[in-house]
Amino acid sequence: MVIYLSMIENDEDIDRFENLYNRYKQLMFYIANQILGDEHLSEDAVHISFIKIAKNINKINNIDSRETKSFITVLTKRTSIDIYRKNKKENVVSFEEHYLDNNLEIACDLSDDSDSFIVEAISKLSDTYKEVFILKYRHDLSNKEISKVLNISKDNVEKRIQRGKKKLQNILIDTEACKSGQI
Amino acid sequence: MDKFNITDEDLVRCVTKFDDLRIDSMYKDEAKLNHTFTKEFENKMDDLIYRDKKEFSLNRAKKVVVGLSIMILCIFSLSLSVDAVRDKILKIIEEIKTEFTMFMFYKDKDNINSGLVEPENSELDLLKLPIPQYIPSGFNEVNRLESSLDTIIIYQNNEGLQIRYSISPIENNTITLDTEGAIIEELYIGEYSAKYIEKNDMKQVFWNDDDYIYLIDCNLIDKEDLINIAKNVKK
Repeated sequence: MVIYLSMIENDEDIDRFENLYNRYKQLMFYIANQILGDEHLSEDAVHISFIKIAKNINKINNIDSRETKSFITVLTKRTSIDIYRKNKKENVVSFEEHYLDNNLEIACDLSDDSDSFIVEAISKLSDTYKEVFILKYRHDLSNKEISKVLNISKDNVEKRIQRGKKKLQNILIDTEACKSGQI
Repeated sequence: MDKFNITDEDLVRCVTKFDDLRIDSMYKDEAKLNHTFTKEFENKMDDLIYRDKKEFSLNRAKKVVVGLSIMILCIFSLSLSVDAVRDKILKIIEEIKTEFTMFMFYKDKDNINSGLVEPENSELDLLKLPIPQYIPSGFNEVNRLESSLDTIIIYQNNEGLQIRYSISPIENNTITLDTEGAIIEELYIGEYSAKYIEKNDMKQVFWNDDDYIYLIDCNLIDKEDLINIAKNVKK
């Protein structure tokens, strides 16, 4: 592949990009392959993800931080899902069967935490809302920045945030109802 | 926090907690991940990382600012399967994304195996490659970057303006072009359709023939000059 990314504008960023590549390529491939179940497509997903990372290199500070890992995992996952959808009609391992069913369980052991109720509810949201929430509320990206990372319109980002909040609220209400024996 | 009335402050706090749990839960065995990436992938990434590094050093040394973003390539002339003796079958897929356009070239492997396509050297032989026979006055070659994937020649004038010529064999190749907010025009270079792309100070023209993908990009020279360079790429 020929690619020129003068979008990385100084050698400090280039070094950071190279370190990111060495640090996360295996993890990114793992994420992509969980979704795509195809090594060639997964490598494509990793490559495209790095192009997106290059465009957002200024948002990355500490390579080993949880913030960086979070950003990269969300971005790689989204890229992989986009590729999966494009290849849906081809012979690709079923995302629903091999990824969603084996989705990772969040161990919400936060019994002493006053936020545990909400955290648990967030874990029940679909990935569509989780990724927008993570980019918005953890990484403090603007709706426009999120739209570029996820390759969706700004309007769509706003709708997802609003719907995500509504769904979160409903989950909390339902959970509360269950606990109080109303359901 | 009022019951079920979640504020943005609540979300900042709780999404971060959730996300920390997500990360900690997902990849406990990260150190054991050991996928062996294909040579093709490694080459793509090397090209991405190390070329930028080399070019940036060159640019800085010469106090040149190579504008933002860039590039890349190309397409079309699907008529190649009809006209002339086209011994290479290409599939070109153009994917347009919000921020960039990706062109993927595929050679038909069956035809390669059947001997219709002669084996090519892994290294480009610059003596046999088409290169620009016209470069605007004041520009001189300052660098060449050669690899099995492509060859790039960089020309520069005294003001630090650059012209970059890139030629890549059409293998199974993917080329990504930063088209976000760019002006894109269709034109012809000889018999081959081409694309002219202008974004900020960066102007690019790219096209392909039966054998190669070509890209010329520059900052701040005239569009006509750029197209003239393209029309004078010859062996």
